[in-house]
Amino acid sequence: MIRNIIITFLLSLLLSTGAVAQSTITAQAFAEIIEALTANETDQLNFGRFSTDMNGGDIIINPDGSRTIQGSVIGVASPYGPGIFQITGAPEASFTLQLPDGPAVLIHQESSKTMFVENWVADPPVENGPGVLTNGNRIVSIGATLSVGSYDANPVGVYSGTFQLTFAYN
Amino acid sequence: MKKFAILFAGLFLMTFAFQSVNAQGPATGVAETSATIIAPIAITKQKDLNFGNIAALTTAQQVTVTPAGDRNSTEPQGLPNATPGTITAASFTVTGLENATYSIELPTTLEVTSDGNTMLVNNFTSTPTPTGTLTGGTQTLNVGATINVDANQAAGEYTNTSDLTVTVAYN
Repeated sequence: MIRNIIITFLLSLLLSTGAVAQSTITAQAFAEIIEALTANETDQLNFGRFSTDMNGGDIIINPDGSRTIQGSVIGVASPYGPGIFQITGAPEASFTLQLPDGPAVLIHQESSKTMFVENWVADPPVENGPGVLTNGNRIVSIGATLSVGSYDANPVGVYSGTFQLTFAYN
Repeated sequence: MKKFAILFAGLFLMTFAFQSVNAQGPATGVAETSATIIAPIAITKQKDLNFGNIAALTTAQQVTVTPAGDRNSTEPQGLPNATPGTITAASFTVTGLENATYSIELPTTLEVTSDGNTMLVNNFTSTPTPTGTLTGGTQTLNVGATINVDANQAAGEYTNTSDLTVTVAYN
């Protein structure tokens, strides 16, 4: 009898120690997805109409929409303006803008002659650091300088090209 | 296994003792026996797994939080530097018999949801792995994983619907 009791006791020890040989717990997993950062070009960067002569010159479109002409280029009344981009994303998130590394090439369709666009500037200025998406929105304005050659180098006509901006969450 | 060996030794000892008692007829004997009860293994949670803020992109991305708590993505622009949110690996404290080793069982997959949108969490990893050692009777167990973010994943705060269950057992 005593033996049985002791064996039962030992068996119960076996069982009870077996029961605590493993332990389980649960935890939570979280992630927050913030809105995709999107950029839409609402206005194209446009240097407008102008004429050139033997020496050429520069046309500067400023982010504020003003146009400055240098050299022997003569501006002609016409629409011109900076590139306007609407950036949307997570409210109050900050974002960076990367301007083109080098010049964009504008090509004259009839002659394949070219002009270069460079000296990219933005508002808000890139050098001020990341911009903030107030209420999830921000307008970014892009200006640049167009170098116009002589009449021979740049015959009359429409020149077009592309440039790339990179917006990213900071 | 060591535990079993000790218990069986106890049983044999007792059997011999009672046999000798029986040979002497109706008399009462007392046999010594012994068993070692080892400290139960236990696990408690210190931190949940949190992937932080992830920007939805037009491409799918996989974001991984390592057991050390470092975060990376197959599309790094999906990780905002300025507003990363809270990023933590899951962390647990395992306690039990000093210097005992234990096995670790992690989830295979689980789902996180927000407003009916889902993402899959998989590739769970831990430090230590695949077994731990209770040096001094305790060890921190950290668990990381990968979250699979679809292209244009809907914005929202996602939490798990099935349990992130971690089981530890003595080897």
